[in-house]
Amino acid sequence: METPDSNERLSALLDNELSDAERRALEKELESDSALRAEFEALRGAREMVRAHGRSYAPADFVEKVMSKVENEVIPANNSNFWRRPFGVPIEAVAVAAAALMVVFGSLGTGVVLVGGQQAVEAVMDAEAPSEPAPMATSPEERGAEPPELEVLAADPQVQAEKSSNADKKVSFSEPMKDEIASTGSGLAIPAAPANAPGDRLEDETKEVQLLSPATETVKSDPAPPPDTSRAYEERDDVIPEATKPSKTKSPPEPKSAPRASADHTESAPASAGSKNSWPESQWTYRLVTTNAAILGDLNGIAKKSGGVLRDSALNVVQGGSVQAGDTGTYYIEVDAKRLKDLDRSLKAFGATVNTSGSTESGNVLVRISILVILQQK
Amino acid sequence: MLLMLLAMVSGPSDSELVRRFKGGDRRAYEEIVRRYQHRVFTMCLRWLRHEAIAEEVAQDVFFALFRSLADFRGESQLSTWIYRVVINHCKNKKMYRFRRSEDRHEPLEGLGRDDEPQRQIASEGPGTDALLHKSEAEVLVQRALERLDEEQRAIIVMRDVEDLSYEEIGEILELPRGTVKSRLHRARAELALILSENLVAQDVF
Repeated sequence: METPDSNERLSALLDNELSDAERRALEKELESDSALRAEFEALRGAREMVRAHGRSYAPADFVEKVMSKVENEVIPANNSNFWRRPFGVPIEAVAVAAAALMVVFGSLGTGVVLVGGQQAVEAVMDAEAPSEPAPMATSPEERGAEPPELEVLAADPQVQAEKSSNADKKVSFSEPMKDEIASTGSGLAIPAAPANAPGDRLEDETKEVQLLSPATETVKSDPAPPPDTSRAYEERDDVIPEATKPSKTKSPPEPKSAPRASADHTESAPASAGSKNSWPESQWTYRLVTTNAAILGDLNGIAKKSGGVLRDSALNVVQGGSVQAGDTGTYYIEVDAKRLKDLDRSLKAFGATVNTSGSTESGNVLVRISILVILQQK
Repeated sequence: MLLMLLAMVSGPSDSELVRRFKGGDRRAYEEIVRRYQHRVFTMCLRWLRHEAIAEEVAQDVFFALFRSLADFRGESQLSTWIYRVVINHCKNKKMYRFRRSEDRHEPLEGLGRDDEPQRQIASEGPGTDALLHKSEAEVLVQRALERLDEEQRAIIVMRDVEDLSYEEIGEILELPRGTVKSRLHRARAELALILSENLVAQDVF
């Protein structure tokens, strides 16, 4: 007697995933039902073929290639002590947690502006928070075309000359922002920034960020800025730093009645006095994003309103729909530089505002939006 | 004593390797790469169906792993976590290539049912040349797997090649156990059908 799930039970039987009672019942059915038995044998045959021949093998030099690239490209240059130091709190975690949103305006031939800010995504979802950092990152080519653009800019003599004059300018994220993220009550704890000891990886990357400060950058550095290591990684034409979700504690989740209000962010946003940006300084805030699809939909709409396009998505937040606290993601909107203010307006309408920005002259710009989900609501 | 012998045979556990990595042990990371290279590569290849791209993405997976391993707290198994990284990378790569029209799909001829978009092949798969060195059975299996969609391939590989449990597969793909069970069965049933068709076509029986 075939039941609606009897076919699935055949697979479960193969996998020894049935209870004893279920197994006995199904075995009895198999004895008396030749068609069912044939189906079972076909499944078993397929499984055995896959078991025997489904494995592929990485090239013989795969490990060497990985190790070589890790040591030559992934580990910060000039850091011979890298393997000798214990890995403390990952720098990426600090960068992502404290600086949930970064926007990069890359305009060919005009300069790059790296903007620090913060974005809070409040996720309404039922799924449990992941127990480990959300796997993420993708190759630079999948994140858009910014690496070549940045290389061009770096080679620009004018940019090079202005780099030195901008040596004291750092892309930074304020302590109040970090504190605020830490106090969301979502059960997330923000790791402390590692000490910036000489020879330490942190120092190297901070330097790299400084070097990358664009010619038109006008962001003032905070007294103790956490490094934008994700930016540094990006400049190395490599993978975006891994999702580095803040460690989750077992503290109770924030009550429903206490969602983070965007006004709170604005109040805590530090003023960057003296900024010469053409846009007002404020703060990014995203709210009520429930699924990855929703994020994409929202960003698509924002891009279209400003005549731009959501060019690429690392889709790092979550595959399959749910966004969980601690997930991160990177998205790109390509827009005509003349429409940047429209984009800004659209983002504001969405609940986000631009923290800082720089001028661009012409052509398309690529806006990179990094997202960190910092709150999970039931 | 038994545990010591097991450790000598199988090498240090994943958690031990992670601990050593966090302590700055280069060899621990290398051992992780060595331990997982074929599993990662297999999954990449099954998902992306192109050896060179699979290798590239597999490398990216280990770079990503390198950067995030310090955050790994051991609340799930390292293998599960790595597979999640693999799946994410593969999806990203697939989307990127699709957007760049590098991964166009064409429906298989002769399959009849238009309502099965998952039965597709890539215009650039491993190709005949890449399969020449493989046994006939390997080619049969690979060709058959290619006719499943990515998730079906992934589920079958995770279960039948890597021997992951339903729970682990569910954690990786973020699916409930029941969904894993039904999708696995559907994938196997489809694979069995394809294999039988191919075996008949090749007059193997």
